[in-house]
Amino acid sequence: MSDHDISLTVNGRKVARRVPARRTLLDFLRSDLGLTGTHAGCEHGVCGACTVMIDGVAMRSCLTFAVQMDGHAVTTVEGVANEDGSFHPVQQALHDNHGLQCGFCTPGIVMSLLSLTEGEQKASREEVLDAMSGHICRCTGYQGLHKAIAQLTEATHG
Amino acid sequence: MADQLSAAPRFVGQSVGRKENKRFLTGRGRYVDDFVEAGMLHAAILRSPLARANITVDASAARELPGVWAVYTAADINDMFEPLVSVFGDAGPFGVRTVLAESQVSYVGDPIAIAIAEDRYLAEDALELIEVDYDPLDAVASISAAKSSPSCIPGRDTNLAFEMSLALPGSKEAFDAAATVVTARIAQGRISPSPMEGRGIISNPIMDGKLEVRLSSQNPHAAKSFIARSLRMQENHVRVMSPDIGGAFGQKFGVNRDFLATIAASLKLRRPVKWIEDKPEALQAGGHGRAEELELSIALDASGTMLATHFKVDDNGGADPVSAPGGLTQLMAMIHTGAYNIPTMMADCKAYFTNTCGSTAYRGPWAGETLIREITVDKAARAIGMDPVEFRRRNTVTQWPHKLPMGLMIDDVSPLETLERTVEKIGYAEFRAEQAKAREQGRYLGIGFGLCIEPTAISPGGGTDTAEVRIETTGKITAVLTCHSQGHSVETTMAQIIADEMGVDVNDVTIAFGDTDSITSGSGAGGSRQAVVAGGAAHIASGLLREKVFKLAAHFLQTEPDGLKLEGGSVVGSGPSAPSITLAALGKAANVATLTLPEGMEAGLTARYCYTPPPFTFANACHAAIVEADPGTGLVKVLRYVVAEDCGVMLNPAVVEGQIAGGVIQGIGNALWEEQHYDEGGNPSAGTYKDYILPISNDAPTIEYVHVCTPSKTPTGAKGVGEGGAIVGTPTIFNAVMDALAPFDPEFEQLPLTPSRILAGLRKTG
Repeated sequence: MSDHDISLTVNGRKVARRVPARRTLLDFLRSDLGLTGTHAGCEHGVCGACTVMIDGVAMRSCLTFAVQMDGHAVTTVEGVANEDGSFHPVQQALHDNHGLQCGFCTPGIVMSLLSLTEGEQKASREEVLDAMSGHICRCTGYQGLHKAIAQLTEATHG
Repeated sequence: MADQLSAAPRFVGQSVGRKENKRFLTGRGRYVDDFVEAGMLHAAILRSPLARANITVDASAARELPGVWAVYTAADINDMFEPLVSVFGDAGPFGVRTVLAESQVSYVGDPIAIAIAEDRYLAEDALELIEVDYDPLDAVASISAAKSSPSCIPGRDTNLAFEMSLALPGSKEAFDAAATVVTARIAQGRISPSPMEGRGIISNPIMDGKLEVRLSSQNPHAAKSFIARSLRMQENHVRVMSPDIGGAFGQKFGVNRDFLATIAASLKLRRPVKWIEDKPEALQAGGHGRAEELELSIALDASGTMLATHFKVDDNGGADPVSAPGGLTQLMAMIHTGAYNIPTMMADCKAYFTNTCGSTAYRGPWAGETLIREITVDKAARAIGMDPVEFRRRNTVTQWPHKLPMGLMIDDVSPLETLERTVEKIGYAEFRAEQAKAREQGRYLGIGFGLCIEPTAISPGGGTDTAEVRIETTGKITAVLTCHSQGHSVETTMAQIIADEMGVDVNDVTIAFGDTDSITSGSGAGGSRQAVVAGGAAHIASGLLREKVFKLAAHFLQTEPDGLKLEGGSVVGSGPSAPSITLAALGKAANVATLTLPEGMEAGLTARYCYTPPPFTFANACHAAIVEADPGTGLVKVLRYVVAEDCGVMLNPAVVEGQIAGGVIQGIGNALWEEQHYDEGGNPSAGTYKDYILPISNDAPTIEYVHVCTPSKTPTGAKGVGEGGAIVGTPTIFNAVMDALAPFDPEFEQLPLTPSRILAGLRKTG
C-alpha cells in the first residue's frame, strides 16, 4: 500500500497531508481533518449522507479517494454558513420548513441543495426535486425537504 | 395553576423552530462516530456467511498483522458475560445466549470474531486473515420450516419460543351463528429499521473499575442496566452516554451482541475501542422488524355487524432477538379489535426461533394487528357488498370509555370523528366519480382507508421518566430529563412545556439528556412515550419549582406566596404597586448569595419529579390514500394521502406532523418496497441499499393533515404520535391497491406489494 502527498483546499483553507492510497475522502475529512459534519451513511453511494462539493459540484465522498483530491477544492457542510454564523439560504430553508429531524442525512442534503441552487446554472424546482432522489432521509417523509426546495427555487427564479 | 401564570400557554401548541437545527445544519451535531478518545482503537466484526454451520476458528495469522492489537473469538470473551437475556431483563425464552458464536453459527451475520486495530482499515484487513472452517448444517429459515424441524439454535430444545391460545366466552358460538365469516391472511416483509446512522459504540474502561460507554441508543438508562448485569458489574460503575442519535425507529432500544463484544475487547486491552456498524452489517445483523404471518377471521351477522374475531399470528424471532419473542403477540391479540365494536374473540399466538437475524423493535412493533384487521375489514365489506366507509361507520365504537374483549379499557379517543373528517378531506364521493371515469380511460385509481387506535406511552410495568428542573445563578432554566431524541425534537418541545409553566421565554430554557451519570433511571425514547411521560415529568417538576420560586420571592417582596404570578421572567405580586423580582435575582440569591435566604431554607432552586404514567395513553387516527396502480407493470403511485390524527394536545404541530409524515412514508415502504427476504437456505436477499429499497423523496406524496384534539388525562394533555403513521400507513396503501385493481379480482398474501407480486396476484384479466 502506497502513501501519497496531496495538497488541496478545504473550505477555503489550504491543506497538505500524506495519505494512504486507499483512504476515502470521507475518512480523510472526518479522521485526518476532524471535519465530522460529513457523515458515513451507507458507504456505497446510495444514501447521499456523505455528499460534499468538489470544485463546486456535489459528489459522494465515500466513493472518492483522498488522493484524487490533489489540487482540488472541497467544500463541506462546515463551510456553508455565513461568516457571522448565520444560516445560508439553503440551511434557512430547511430550518424554516422542518426539513430535518435526527440530522444525520442533513449535511449531505445541504451540500446537494447548495450545488443545485448556487452557481450559474440554477436548477428548476422539478430538476432539484428529481436530483434529491439521491438522498435518503428516514425521519421526515421528505415533506419539509419538498417545501424547502419550493422556497429555494422560488427565491432563485422569482 | 391558571392564576399563577400570566396568560394561556404561549409556546405549547406553537410550531416553535427547533433548537436542535443549528448544530445539525452546520455539521456540528455529535454522533457516536464523531467522538475520539485518547488511545482509541477500532473494531471490526467477522460474521458468518452461512445460516447454520459448525465452525472451527483460527485467528493466529490475523493476530500477527502489524497494527492489529487483538483478535478475540468466543473462547476469549464469552466467559466474561452472564448468559444473555432480554433487554427487558427477563431470562427467556431466549435464542443465542453467547456474545460470539461458539461451535455453531445460527444465521448469516452471526458474529464470530472481533478484530481490534489501530484503524478500521487494518481491523478489516485482519478479518480477511481469520480462517474459519464451516461444516454446513440444514438451515431453518422460515416459520413453516421451524414448525417441522428440530431445534436450530444451540442450547434450545425446540424452535417454538412462545404459545398462547384463548377463546373468550361466546366466541365459538358467535362464529357458529354468523351469517358470514371473512378470513384474510398476510405475511409481512421483514423490515430493516435502517436509521441513517448505524449502530455504534465507544467503550472506554476508565479508572477504578468503571466503564464509560458512548452508545447510539434510544435509552441509555436501560443500556446501562443491561451492560452492568451482563458483565456482573455494579450498575453505578457503568456510565452510558448517548449523544446525538441519527435515527433509531426501535432498532436502538436493545444492547446487541456486537456492543458487548466491543466492551469485552476494551476491558481486555484496557483501551477505548470504537465499533461502528456499516450498512451491509445493518441489513444482515442489525435486527429485523415485522417478521410475522398474520390471519384474521371476522364473524358478521346478516346486517354486517361484527360479532367476533379470531386473530392468529406466527412471529419469526430469528436467532438472537433483543427481547423474548412472542411477548408482543399478546399485545397484538389484546388490541387487535381496534376501534370496532367486537364483543368477543379468539386468539392463537405463536413465536419461533429460526436461522435468520434476530427480531428487533420497529416503529409500532405490534403493527401487525392493525395491518391484518384493516385488510380484513375491507375484504369483509367487499364480501357483503357494503361500502368500506359505511361498514367501518356501522361497526365503530361511539361510546367511550370502551372495554376491549380482553379487558383493556380505552378512553379519550375519537375514531369515528377521524373517519368522518378523513372522508370529508379526501372528498370520498367525488373520488368515486373520478375513479369510474378513470376506469373508462383504462386508468386504475383506488382509495384505501385505515382506522387505528394506537397505544402510546406503554408503561404497564411502571415506565417512569424523571425531570429535574433548576434555576441557574443567571435566572436561566436548565432541565435534565431521562427522555432522548433520535429526531424527536425534545430539546424544543420539553423547553416549550417548561417555558410555559415558568413564565419565561422558550430560549431561556435549556434541555439536557442522554447521560446516565446526570440523572437517575428512566425510559428514554420508544413506544411513543416522550410527550406524555417526559412531558408529564417536566410539567409537574416545573410546577413544584414554581412553588419554591414563589416562596423565595414572597420573602424578598415581603408578601405571601398566594397571589404571586410568573410572567416575563419575573415574579410579580398583586395590587396596584405590583412589586416584582426577576428570576435572575432569585437565582443569584438561591445559588450564590445564600445568606440572604430565609432562615432554614435550603439553598438552590431545583425541583425534580419522577412521573409514573397510566399503563396506556391511547391516540387514534384514520388515514386515506388514493393510488394509481398499473395492471400492466404492477407499479403503484401514491397520488394523495390524508391523515386525521387525534394525539390530544399538540406540543408543537410541526413536530407532530413530522412524526406522522416520517411514519407514513415508512408505512408506505412497508407496503410497497421494503423487504429483507430469506431464501430456504437462510440467505438474505439484500446486501446493500441497492437491494433493500427505502422510500426516496420522489415516492413521497404530500401528506394532508386534519388534527382532532381529545386531550389525554395526563399532565400535558398530550398523547403519543411517533408510531401511528407507520402502523396504519401500510394497510391504508394495501387497501387502496386492492380497490384500484378490483376489476382484476386481486389476492395478495405477502408484503411488500412489489410489481411482480401484484402481477402474480391478479386473478382476472379485467
